[in-house]
Amino acid sequence: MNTVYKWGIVTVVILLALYGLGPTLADYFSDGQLDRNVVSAEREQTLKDQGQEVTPREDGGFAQWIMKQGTPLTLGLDLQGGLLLQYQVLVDKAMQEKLDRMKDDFKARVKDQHPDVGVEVNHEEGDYFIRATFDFSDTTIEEDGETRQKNMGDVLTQDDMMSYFPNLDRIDEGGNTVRLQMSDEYIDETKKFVVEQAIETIRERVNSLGVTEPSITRRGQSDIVVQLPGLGEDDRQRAKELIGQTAQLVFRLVDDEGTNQFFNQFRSDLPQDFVLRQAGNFRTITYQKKDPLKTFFEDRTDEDHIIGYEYMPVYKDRENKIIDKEQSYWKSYYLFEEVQVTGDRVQSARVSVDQQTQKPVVSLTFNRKGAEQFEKLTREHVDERFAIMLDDEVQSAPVINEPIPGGRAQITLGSLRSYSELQQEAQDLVIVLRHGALPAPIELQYQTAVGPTLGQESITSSSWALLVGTLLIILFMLIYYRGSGVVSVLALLFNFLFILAGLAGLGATLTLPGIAGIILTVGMAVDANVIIFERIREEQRAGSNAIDSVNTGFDKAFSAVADANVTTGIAALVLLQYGTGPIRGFAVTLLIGIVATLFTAVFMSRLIFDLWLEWRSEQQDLSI
Amino acid sequence: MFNIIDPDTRIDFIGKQRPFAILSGIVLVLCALAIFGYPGPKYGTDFSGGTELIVKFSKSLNSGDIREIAERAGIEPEKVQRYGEPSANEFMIQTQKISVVDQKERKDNTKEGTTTAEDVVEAVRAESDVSEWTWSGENPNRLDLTFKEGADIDTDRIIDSIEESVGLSDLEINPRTAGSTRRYVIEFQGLQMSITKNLKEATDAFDPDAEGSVAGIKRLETVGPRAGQQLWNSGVFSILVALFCILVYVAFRFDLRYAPGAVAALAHDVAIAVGFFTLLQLEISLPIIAAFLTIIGYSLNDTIVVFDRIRENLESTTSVEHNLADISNRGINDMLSRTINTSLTTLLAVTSLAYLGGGLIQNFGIALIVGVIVGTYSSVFVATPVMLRMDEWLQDWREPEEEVAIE
Repeated sequence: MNTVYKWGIVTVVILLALYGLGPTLADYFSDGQLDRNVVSAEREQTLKDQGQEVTPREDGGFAQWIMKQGTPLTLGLDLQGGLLLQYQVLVDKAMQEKLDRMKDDFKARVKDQHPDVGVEVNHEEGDYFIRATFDFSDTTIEEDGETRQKNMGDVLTQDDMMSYFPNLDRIDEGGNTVRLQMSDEYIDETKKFVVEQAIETIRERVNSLGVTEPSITRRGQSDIVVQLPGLGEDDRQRAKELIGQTAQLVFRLVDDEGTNQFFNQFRSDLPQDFVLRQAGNFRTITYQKKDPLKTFFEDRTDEDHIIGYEYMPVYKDRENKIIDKEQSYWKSYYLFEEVQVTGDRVQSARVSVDQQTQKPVVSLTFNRKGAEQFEKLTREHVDERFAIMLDDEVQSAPVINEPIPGGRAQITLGSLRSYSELQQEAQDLVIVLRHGALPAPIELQYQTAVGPTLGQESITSSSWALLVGTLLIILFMLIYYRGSGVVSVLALLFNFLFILAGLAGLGATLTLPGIAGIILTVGMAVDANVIIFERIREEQRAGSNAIDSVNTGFDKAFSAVADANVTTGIAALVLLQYGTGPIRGFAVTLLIGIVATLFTAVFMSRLIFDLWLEWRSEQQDLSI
Repeated sequence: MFNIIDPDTRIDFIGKQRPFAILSGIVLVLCALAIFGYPGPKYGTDFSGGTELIVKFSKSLNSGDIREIAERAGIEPEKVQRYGEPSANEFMIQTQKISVVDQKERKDNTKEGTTTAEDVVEAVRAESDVSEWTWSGENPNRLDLTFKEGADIDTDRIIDSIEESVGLSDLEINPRTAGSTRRYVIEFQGLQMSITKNLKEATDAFDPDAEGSVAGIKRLETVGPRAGQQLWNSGVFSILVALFCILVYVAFRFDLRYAPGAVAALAHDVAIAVGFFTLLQLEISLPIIAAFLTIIGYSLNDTIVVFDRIRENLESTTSVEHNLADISNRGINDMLSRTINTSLTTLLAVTSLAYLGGGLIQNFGIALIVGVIVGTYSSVFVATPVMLRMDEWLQDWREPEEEVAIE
């Protein structure tokens, strides 16, 4: 490769690094803090005092333009303070709870339909099945003119008994004992879903905390890690309480009669951008976000009523489901506070196709108790709406067309949508109904709270360590290798630039072990130069001239340098794979450091050497 | 040219390997005794489970005072230690507690002040009939209860009863799921909340003149036993995976006979580093595991550079030596000044880390210092001799095979 091209590459890489580091520099020099905004500290305080959000890119000048070009370097939780929580979703507890309820319901249904049959139903904690033992000794049944005792077939197949338990498989165990086993597919699906739903719920709750860069990630099978950087001491308990709640699925009645009057009364004193809308026959108040709506309605409802909220997405592109965030809104429902049916009464839910309209609908079954409650609800409130709710959010609000006895209901969704949309919507609702009934408890496994002062102290002391360590190394290299030492120092400084730019560019966070990784990289980066320089010295001792010894030195040292870095890279990759939080920060830094080292210590320093050899006079000795 | 090592140095490392092999052997045995016998490694809170807090006091107190305050706050301190400069008035307190309820049942050796789940259930029984209950150390903040059929359940009275007889406050009792009639769950206040509250009260009570002397809890970490086990498993697993990957890489990149030497050196280094931490009773925590992994990377770096040179010498036709031992010895000598220089520069970096890096990162730096020293030593005195042994063994193994082939 031509030298000009090589210098071209170096220039491009340096420019890229400066570009990647731009937002970080703008961020830091605006107020001396890496706080992801270019707003000065005083202005930030004023904004916070006024209860306004601090927008990261608002200063109007050059700094703002730079900030828009990328993301600044983020400090990890250990450096800026905050709260880290690891929760375990108690999936098994939730499943056992469900089986316990199925056990009770199975017994009740048998007793209901066959009062003369004796039945003993058991569920051992930890098992994924329930076991029923029947006693038919006091029963008789007439069949083909003959009288005989009832048997299991009569109980289990009559009235389609098993269809109330679509997720249990019947296994006869001989005698009058039957095992009702939860299918593996259902167990897996539910477990997976329970964790995903817990993540979603936690995400929503965390968003309402107003932390700038929260992160919620899944770890392993059933753990959820929540990171809340910058969260103050006073908010920690609130955060934990908020996250720790479990979501509840409930059915409530919509107050259709009172709705219009209720919402109309706010017509004149609506806050800015709140809209009073007409949807069908009903009024509602809408806004782009849920929380301001909640704040507004707080203290504005009477004891018997609460407000439910539903998200109404407006699509930019319906096919690809691109939501127009500006146009989408939350709408509010005026509901009776009393819970009509609780979610744990839902036995099963699935998507089916309506025989008459040939459109997807949701079929759901209640357990015995639920069927009674639902029948009562539907008989007394024909033509009214009821709301299916998770916490305070309305998932669907169908109209009751007729009384529904027996616990089998069908929910028809909006009629104006296409088949595939209906299908999707039905699927979503089924998921909520099926699993929302299963509020999995979560339990804190690990928590770290770091105060902001400790973070600041860590930054200060580790920066000192970095500075002093680097200066000592620079001093050593200059004394030991003289002129060539200057080359390695130049390489080292560029190495710094590339590591920081790499971290910022990859959106990685800088943690305390990460800074340790940089210090270590500095130590190891000069190693590559040491190997090369020693090799050049060796060639010189063997009698080669300056140009030859530099060329041979670099060529022969390369395999050792490459091998050494690759093996360190392996250790770093393993750390990245199995490490957590701050340790990953260390691994990322080490990896970026390795790439930067190969580039600066091998590629760049050779170019500098070549330039130097060209420039110096022939007779002069190589300063090494 | 400024040289620490004279370029013509020819030290007979291989010939003098015996005393060093004995030295390594003795050190390894000592480390093994320390690790598996007495005193045994000391794990940080993140592995052993428990709670660790760093508290800043606004008034000058000694660790005896702090211990007493912590005891009054119900922390049951395992270790109280000054943190940072004496003038900073900061202390680190460690306890094995992770929740306000400590264990399931009261036993003969149960210490006074321990709260058991059994106590709580007794308090509930005073108000209502409990048929079953479960509590486990894995999820210590909840207690599942099943009341007898038809039992009278007044949650307010139950809460009062627990507060009165067990002294736990801020707890909640709720049906396990909405609508469940007999199955309830009691959720206890988190230990961190209880510490935050009680520590301030206990400090004020300890010294009424110095009201408000808790200036702030700077760090508070609680690790449940399950999370601790997870962290430990992933730490140990990552070291094993790293060793294996490196073995494969070296075998692939060099030759089968080099790989055991490299891995032996790494195992040697990690064992000594762990042994060093054990002997000095420094805490082994997650960042320290990361440091051990870095030691693996660094030590390997050193070993590879030497091996690379041996391989090169082996290939060069000008070589006058005829046996691998001499060639290896020359390789080590060739790289000696590089080995020393690199160790020096890296040591400069990690020493400043250990000396200036502050509390949380100090042990990390110490682990790396040990690693750099041992790693440099092992590339010369462990990796190469083992490689030579391996070579001899391979030759012994191949020769008879060849004889068979000739017949």
